[in-house]
Amino acid sequence: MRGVGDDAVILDLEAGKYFGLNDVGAEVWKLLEAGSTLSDINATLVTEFDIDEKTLDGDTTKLLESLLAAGLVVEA
Amino acid sequence: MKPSRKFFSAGLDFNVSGTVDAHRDLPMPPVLSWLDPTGRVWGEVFLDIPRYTIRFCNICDFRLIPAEETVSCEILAGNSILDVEHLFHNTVVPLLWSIQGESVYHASCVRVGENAIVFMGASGRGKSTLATEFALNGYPFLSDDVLPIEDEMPATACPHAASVRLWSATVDALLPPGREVEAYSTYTSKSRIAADEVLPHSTEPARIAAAFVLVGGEPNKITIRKMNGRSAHAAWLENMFLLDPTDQKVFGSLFGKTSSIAGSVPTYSLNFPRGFALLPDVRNQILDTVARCETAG
Repeated sequence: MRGVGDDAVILDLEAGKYFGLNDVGAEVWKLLEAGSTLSDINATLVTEFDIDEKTLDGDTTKLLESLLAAGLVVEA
Repeated sequence: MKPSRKFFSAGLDFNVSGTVDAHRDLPMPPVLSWLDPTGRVWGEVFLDIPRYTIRFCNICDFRLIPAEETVSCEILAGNSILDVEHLFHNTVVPLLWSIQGESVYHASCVRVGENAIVFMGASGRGKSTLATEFALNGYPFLSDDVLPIEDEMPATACPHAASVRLWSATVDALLPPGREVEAYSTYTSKSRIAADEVLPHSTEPARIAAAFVLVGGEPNKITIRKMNGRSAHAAWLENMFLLDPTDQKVFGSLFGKTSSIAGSVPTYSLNFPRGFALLPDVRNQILDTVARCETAG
């Protein structure tokens, strides 16, 4: 993962694909790298962004599903 | 700032190994193909370690061994050596640099004071026209088409060929009457115009203050918008020379270098109505944007 401004880009050399994450996605990725769980991530983000918990949980879950589908993360 | 050793003294050349009636059959699939706007393949790269073959369909095959920096060329009968030389300098050399891990982009670039401004975008969007417009108004160009960048911070633009290539309508509209132009290829009606005191070329590397990505469409006004990090990175990556996407070590390194450049150089999308009369306004808005960006620091 590489930071580009507030965003991040990820290169999957095996698949020959690359992905872009906005600032929130970049923050999620950093928290995943640090070993955070979904609830840890939501607890951190709800204090950093002006968003209600239900919407945040839906967005984070959707992002994690996309990352799983792309093979960028695996379930522990 | 010290000129880059590599890009100034590359001294690369190629040997013509022969003239043939047709391309040789190659047993391996290409690692890379380039398509023209109609979807037809016009170029391919084949790898037979340690040798690459860069094929320009119906024109020639370049064979290169990057570690040795040796390049030979087999030309298809009936083609002009002008075309082959142009392809060598504008495509093969930057591709060779890319496999050596150097960041090289399809871009034009001008100097404004101590800094550089980069213009990227698909062919025909106006990169050369903007570089010429700036050069004719006191801002020398560093490059018209191939731009090596040293990614150590700050990202630094390195000068390339001291000429621009323009359509005849652009020559007529922008350059003084009677300007000497030179044909450089049989497959385009563009002409090459060498730098001189009217069209100055800068031979000094310069820190890149901003980059502008020329986007398509037919707007009714000049539009400049700051790109977010991921869009800027995608734009830089799209315009990067890359010989071998299957070489993971080199690709990973160039991806990282491009991330550093996109993360440190403010990158804007630029769209403007076609028409030579508007170019001074485009130039002024670009300069204003860069000045504001520098002030915001």
